[in-house]
Amino acid sequence: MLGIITIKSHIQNRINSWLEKRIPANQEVILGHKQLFIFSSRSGWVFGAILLLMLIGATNYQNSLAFMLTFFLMAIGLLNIFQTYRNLSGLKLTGLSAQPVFAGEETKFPFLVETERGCLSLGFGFEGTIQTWADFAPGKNKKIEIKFKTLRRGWARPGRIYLNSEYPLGLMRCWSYIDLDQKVLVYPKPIAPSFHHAKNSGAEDEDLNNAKQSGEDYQESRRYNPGDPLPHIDWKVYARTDNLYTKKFDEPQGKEEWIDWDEFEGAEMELRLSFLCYLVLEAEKSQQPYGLKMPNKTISPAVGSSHLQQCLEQLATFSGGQRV
Amino acid sequence: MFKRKESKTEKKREQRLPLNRPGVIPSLILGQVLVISPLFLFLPLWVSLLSVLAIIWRIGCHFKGWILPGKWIRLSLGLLGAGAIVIEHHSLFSKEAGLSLFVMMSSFRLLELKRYRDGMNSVFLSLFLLTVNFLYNQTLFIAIYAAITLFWLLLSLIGLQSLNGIYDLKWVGKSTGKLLLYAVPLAFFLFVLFPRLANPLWQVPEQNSAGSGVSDSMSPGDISSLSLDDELAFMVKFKNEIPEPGDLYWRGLVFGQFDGFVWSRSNILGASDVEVAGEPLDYQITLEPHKRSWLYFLDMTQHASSKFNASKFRNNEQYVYQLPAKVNKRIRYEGVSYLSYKANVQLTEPQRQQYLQLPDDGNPRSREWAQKLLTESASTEDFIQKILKFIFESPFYYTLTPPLLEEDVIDDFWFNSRKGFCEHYASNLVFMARAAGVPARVVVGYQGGKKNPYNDYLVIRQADAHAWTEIWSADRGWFRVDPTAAIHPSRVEQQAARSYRQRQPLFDSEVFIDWVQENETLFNSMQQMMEAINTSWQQWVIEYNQGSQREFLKWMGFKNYSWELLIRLLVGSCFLVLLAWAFLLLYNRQPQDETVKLYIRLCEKLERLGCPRKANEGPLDYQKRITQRRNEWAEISKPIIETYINYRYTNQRPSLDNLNDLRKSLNALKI
Repeated sequence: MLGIITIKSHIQNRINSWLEKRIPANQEVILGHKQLFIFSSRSGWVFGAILLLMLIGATNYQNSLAFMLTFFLMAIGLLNIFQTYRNLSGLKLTGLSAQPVFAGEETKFPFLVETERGCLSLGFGFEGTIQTWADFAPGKNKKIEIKFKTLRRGWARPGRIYLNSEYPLGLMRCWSYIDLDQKVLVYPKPIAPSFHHAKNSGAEDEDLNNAKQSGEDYQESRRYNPGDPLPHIDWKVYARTDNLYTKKFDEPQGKEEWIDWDEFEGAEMELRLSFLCYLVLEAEKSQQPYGLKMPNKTISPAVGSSHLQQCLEQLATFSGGQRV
Repeated sequence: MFKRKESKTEKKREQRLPLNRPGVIPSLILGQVLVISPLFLFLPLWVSLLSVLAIIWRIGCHFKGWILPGKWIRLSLGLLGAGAIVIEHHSLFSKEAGLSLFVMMSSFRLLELKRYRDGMNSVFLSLFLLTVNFLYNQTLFIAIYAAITLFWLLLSLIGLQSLNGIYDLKWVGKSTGKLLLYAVPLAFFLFVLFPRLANPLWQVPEQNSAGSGVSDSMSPGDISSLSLDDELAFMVKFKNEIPEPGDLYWRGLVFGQFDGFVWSRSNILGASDVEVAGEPLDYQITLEPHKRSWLYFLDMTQHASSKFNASKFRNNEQYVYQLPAKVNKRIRYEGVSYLSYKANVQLTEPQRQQYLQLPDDGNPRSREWAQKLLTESASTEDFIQKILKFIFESPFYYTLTPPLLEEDVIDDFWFNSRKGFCEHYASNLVFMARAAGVPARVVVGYQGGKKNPYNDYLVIRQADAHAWTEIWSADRGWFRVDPTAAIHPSRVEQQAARSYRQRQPLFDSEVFIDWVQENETLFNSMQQMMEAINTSWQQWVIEYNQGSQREFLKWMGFKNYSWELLIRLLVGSCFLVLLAWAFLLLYNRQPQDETVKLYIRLCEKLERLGCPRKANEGPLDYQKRITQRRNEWAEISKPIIETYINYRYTNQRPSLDNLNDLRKSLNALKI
């Protein structure tokens, strides 16, 4: 059993590297004889068998009309090869960039399809996903999207797109596996930090000092009210007392806040990133300037979508470097 | 493991288009109806009924939301049907049983149309049944019907692949038409050049059904009505002029034996012996399958040629052409005949005995009458003339519904009823001659024929079946006497009008009264045209076989027929067709080139209209000038020039459809 699986995966690898050479990844692909494969479909075999039966019958009964019908169908079967190929050939696909998403969410890979002749009943999808169908009118551009479920943070590549069509008669299948060199940035899945993960050290004063040094005018803690920004929760107090307190700051709106990698020391790295991600999102929601402290990079406090994106990108691509 | 497998098939299933797109299921049902309708003629009634029920059920399910039968009901229905077929046909593997089974199966399959694959298989089964149709019927009509059905089946096949099903029937129809049109040349080459076998792969069981027309015995007294069968018997193409209608006697069989009631064939007694004179008549006969084994030739043949090698079977004193097997297929053969001849001037003793044979007793009055007449006659010819005069002058009637005759049928007819058709008259004349000691025999075949003006074929129908006599005299040998022709025209019954009109030359005497209105109606002329088309259809399509292939190759200039040559030609022509397809379908016309071409054509056309583009003039300035000249030109040129500018300066490529529209508008501009 294991042997078969190894052989299978070996063959798969060979096919993949062959495909890589034949249809290299490119943002823009025009389907031609190099990209397209064509072979009889399942129904095509049935059709062929029936034609053979009809031919034998016509020969035996020496029936001219049976001959004529058989030959007509033969001609149509041959013509169908050309038409099925024509349906896909000349199709130009351009990969467009996909919207980043959080891990576990579905993203959509958009691409532009241009065709001069038109292309009908085109099925497309990434390998292993359920395919969708579309028609493309001649001379018009159409943007289509393929859904893709992300699993892990980081850059995600969806792999090759499987395009296929059996139009017009369903006797031949023309297909291609193309790689539009598309990728999408997947942010860590935001997870509200469970409080046990908060740093549980006694260096409260130090922290307090730190906070003061960094310009946060820490006044006091008060009981947590629903709706208080989560980064303002005094985790240390919570760790001690199991009660939620919100750090109260004196200064007006726009006070800076730091989201710190070290805050969740001890938690597993991906989880830690998820916590940070969550905190960053919350901070952006509250429109308070926030900064991100990572072991390898510090992003100074700011607010706004480009800042948010910078932070999220940092989290998505973080490779677990130790503090230098 | 098991679970994973299941999910995999689940996924695959979803990758197929569903059947519930607009028009898909109705198109499959209609396809099935089209295919099996003509087969109902050949199916047992209950099979037809069951199929109709299944189809109605399916239609109800689709349009009225009836419930589809469950798996067990379908299975038991299928088994019941198969069992019933075995009982009906005593087998499951004969042609008829197979047809019943196929029709039932495909109709029942409609009840389980659920997935894409069911739809595809339903179309394939229909295509197969369409072919089976041809085993029963190969007329032009059924061919046209089959072409329409084929169109529909392909249309539903395209519908099965289209995302919108057959939502836009006109569009799908257009695609189907294009498909068929493109396929025509290759289908034609395959039909003409695909190597054919000379003989079937295995013996096809013969069908047993009685044919109408001339049979191998004749008993005039027993027939009380003769129906005029309009069915085609055979067609004749004369190389030169068609002879006078009065000479058109198509000889089939000779009856020499009479038992008092029934005339039947006598043994062949020796070889032919014929002297001919005058111009030979060359002709070709296309004989419909008459399920008998003899051929028809014009009196009198010296020799005949055909691929059946008739000469082997013709050398006999009766001049009949008997084949070793029944004619079950339409055949074509050639003949050469002479209108003036002397046959068997020497009669051998056995022959004389045979052609004087009469039953020992019966019909005493006739015998007496004939012997008396002979004594009053100067010669055999005179004797026969006197009999014919008797028929002409006495109240003998020509009718298709004669009374049944009493015991002595000859006496009863000759002296009593005097109403009958050709068989009665021939039978009586031969009896009289033999009674008087003159050798005589009955000849049956066809008389006359009608020329089809569209293709110059002489068409002979079953209604032209005729019986006449041959009398032997020492100086003329066997010579033809047709006693039916001696009936006075006023005594030809109205009912026999049609037959009479066809045999008009027979009754063409000086006392001829024009009592039949000759009116060539539109219907007649259409009928003739249809027959002309049918003849070509027969000759060029239905009968196309290895022989025709040989002829075709010879016509093309190839001397030897061989499969290798055919295959070479076939591959060559296929290659040409594929090349044409590749050009038509795959060659990429460049829209940019077309745009420039279109612009140049516009300039040329306007130049001829007297508004040439100046050498230093850009398209925009040119457009301005055109607008000043004439509004009509401006309207046409504006979009063309815009497209050109967009292409040249902003690199916007127009679609081919768009270009086609522009080209059309430019073509509409009259010079």
